[in-house]
Amino acid sequence: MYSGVLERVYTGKQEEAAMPDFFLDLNLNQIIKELQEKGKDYDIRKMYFHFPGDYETVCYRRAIYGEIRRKKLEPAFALFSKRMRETRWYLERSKSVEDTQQQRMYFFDAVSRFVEGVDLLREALSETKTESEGLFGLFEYLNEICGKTLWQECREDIEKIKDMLSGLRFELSIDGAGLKVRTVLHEQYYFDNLKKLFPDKFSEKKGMLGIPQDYLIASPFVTNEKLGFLETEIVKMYRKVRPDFFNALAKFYKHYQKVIDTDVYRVEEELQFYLVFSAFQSDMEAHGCVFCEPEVQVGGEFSVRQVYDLALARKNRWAEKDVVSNSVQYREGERFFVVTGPNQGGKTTFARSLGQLVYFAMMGLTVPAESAVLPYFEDLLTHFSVEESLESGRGKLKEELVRLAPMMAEKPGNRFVILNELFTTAATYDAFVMGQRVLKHFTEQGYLGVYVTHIAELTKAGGGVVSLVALADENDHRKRTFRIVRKEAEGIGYAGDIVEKHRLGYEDLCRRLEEGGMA
Amino acid sequence: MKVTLLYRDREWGKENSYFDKEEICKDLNLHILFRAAGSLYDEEDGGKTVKVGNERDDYVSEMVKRVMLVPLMSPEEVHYRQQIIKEAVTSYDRTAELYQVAKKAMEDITKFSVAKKKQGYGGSTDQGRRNVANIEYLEHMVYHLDMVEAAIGHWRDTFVTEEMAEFADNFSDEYRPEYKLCLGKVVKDLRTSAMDGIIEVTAALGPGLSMSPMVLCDLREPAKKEKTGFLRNTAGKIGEFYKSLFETDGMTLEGENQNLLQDIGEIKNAALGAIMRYFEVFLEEKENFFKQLYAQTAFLMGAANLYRRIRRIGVDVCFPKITDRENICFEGLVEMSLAINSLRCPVDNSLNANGKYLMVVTGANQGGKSTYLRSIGIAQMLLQCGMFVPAKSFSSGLYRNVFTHFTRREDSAMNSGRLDEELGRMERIVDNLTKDSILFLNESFATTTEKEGSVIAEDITDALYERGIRVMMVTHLMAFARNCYAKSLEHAVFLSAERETDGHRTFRMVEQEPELTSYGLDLYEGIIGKAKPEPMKI
Repeated sequence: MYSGVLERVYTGKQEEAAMPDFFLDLNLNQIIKELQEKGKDYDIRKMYFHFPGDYETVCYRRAIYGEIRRKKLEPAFALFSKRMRETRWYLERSKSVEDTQQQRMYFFDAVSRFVEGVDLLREALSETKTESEGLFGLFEYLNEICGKTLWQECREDIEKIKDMLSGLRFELSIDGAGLKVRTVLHEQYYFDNLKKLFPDKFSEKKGMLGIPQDYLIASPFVTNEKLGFLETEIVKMYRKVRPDFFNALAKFYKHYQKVIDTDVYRVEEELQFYLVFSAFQSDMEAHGCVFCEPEVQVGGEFSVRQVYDLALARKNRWAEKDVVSNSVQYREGERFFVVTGPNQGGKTTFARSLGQLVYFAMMGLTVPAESAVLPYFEDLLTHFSVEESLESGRGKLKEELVRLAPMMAEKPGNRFVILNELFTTAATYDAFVMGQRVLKHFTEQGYLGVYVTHIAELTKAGGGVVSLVALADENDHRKRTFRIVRKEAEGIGYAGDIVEKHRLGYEDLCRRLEEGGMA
Repeated sequence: MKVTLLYRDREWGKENSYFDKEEICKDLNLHILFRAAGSLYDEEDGGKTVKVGNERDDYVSEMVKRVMLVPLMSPEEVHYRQQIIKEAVTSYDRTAELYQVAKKAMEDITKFSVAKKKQGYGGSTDQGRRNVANIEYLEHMVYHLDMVEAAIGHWRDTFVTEEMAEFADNFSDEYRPEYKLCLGKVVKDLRTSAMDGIIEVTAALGPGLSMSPMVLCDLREPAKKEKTGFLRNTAGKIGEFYKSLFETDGMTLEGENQNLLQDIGEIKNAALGAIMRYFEVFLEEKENFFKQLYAQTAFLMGAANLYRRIRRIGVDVCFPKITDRENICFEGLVEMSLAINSLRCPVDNSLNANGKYLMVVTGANQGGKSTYLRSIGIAQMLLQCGMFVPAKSFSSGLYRNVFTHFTRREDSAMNSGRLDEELGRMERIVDNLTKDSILFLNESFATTTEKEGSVIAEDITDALYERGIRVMMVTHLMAFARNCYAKSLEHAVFLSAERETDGHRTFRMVEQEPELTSYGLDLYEGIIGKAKPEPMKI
């Protein structure tokens, strides 16, 4: 069995994957929603829900994705996918129609699309000389399919039948309400006149039988389930005059039942994982966002330049608002960033951006940063406080601890943890003590992580804890820069500050308007 | 097909108009101009102006207003507009002809779009009816295009500017004979086949043996002899009887079948529908063309009307020259709305204030100060939209923004609320002021005491003067005017109403030092003094 392009060894785990707990916290659902829209014919979500937790997979996928992007294989993959969808559609029709001749013809249509699609994909891969293990495997798998004698015979018969079909053209002459059908045609295009009138509306593209694509008028019966009266009459006519064609069709139907291999559908589906992300990446790049291939190594260092919140960038893409990016590094022996600073200062966004970085890197894709080196993580744990809770302080604290418990029960290993505003409803001293214990536990487990908090004292918890601060403007302490820097914690962010900021913001605006009047 | 009668390089679209344009209209009495532009007068009637029928064209007034409230941005733009307007005022009848063609076309377009909405075509069963309606619409549009071509053709021999000739050439280039011929053929074929002409398509066997996409081969008139034995159907209706004939490699099939009739109808509709889809864009383009032509010729019509109107009154007219913004210079300028309203040529004024960007007019009440300021304001507005100006000569700069701040009669009562409102208006102007603005102030800050008003006026004019912004002001604030004069500002000019030694007013403005009194006393004397007995001599 072919392993596919998502895993080196097919496990089937993604089939039953549910949304991971960290998804909502990291706003990944916003991104995945768009990816799903881009791949509306497929179940994209389940592929993104499955967090592989396996270093080999990370490398396997990254090599594939890198090669697809580098060689711009997307159009070929997309066309292959389209052919596969057509195959399924015609096959379904072939089963649902009652007329035997129609069944056979739909079957022919399905098989010819399938063969075309697979051949096309094989050719595209053969032209590029695949480098990645996954695409090379795919190429070999396709070679195996295309190398069979049955396949080659089938391909020849498809051409024969197509040749016959191109001879089965007829002319309909409508005269008032009367109609004549002729098999002798005068080749003449009335649309030549329209092309003269609207030259820029016609492309040079050729369609069916070499006729200019724009000259073709969709059949009005294309949506009908069954053949209509006229169509039936035409088929009857051809059955009389061209029995050879219908015999060939019958033979084809009998011979090639085994050509369509539904395993290929899985390849098609798995390729969507890369196609949708590539399309999304290109969209975002067009809006000025930067992506890079991360370097992932087991037990390696963690250093990232200009990482940003991709979900926020996606939301802001039409607003021409810049999304702040940050550069950080875990130095030797450092395990946890404790981020403090004013409210609305960009702490949570920063934590989220690191989470997204880890997620996309471990999915084997590119990451929203200028450059990134990070260790392999088998899992990602997040704990964000649920805001706007109507529960009493104790209730909320309890709820937080209940959510925290399973995270604390995980085995030691390579995990990345994001803790955002833990224990906000507890008394400050209690929160400090609990926070310290949590930090101690996670660092002892060997996890790396980020802890966003308003308790400055936690930055001095020791044991690999590093203090980061959301920076305020040098000249105006009320203005946020949204930059996160390595710095001693200074204190806490006051909620009142925000109100003041807004009031002042308004005054600033007024002043600016007055000043700007003469610009 | 672009209509470039207002701008050389673009059509009339979403243009940036003046800030607070309604204020400008009110302060400069522009509505009188707009109304006059939309009224058609006959030329000849013993020198008297006579209305033809009761013809008022509100659309013309509206377009004159809209175009006039958008400043042109460069001398080139002004020149282009002036040339086209020259053409329009020179050939009044031709302007009218083209305008009427555009108007009729627009009426047709409106009629069809209303009919379309009413009938609410939708769904495939309506395709046939929709096709027939669209073909009819298409025929109408082609007719109107021919009318435009004719109108331009009539005019062509008497063109006086290259700009207009270029516009005509551009139209003829697009609506050239080969194109017309082909268009005419297709429209005629469409009409024929929508009725009972012959439609020939080819197709093949497609997926599942269904019919493949079709190719249209021919549309043509039915052969007359085939009529016998057939009961023919027209587009919408399908007859009870029909006879169909399948001719295939020597095989013939006959049948009578409702399903077949339906299939035939669908093929026909698909074929015609496919052609009509190309014409949908064509129709949209032509709709836009006529909309543009209607709007732009309406403006030209208005300009031609205005020209006739004021020429008849005897007002001198010229096309102004564009200079730097520091300069303003004119000769024999009159206030246009006053001329139109009074049907007489009002007192004219001349000024050479090149290099002066602050103008302060003081002097006698009822001396014509406001009229003077307004005459400059109107002329500036006319200049900025490429129109002719009621003067022997006029030159001035181009301003992106025109602001007017006029104290209206009802405002003049002293009242803190009024001052608040007045300063509020001023503040709004200051907020939106740019370096390329021109500001007309008429009796501003009159809603407080002269002393306070003078301080406010001085602060504001100082600030604006320092930044080189053109300010044209009429003021009764004598303390302010004299202070200002005392500063000997290099770029300021001071005018006041001419007063002959006997106190008689000429309503002309002359350059002179502001005096302490506004000669209200003269007025007082003039009206009340004469009636009073001489004081007793002791």
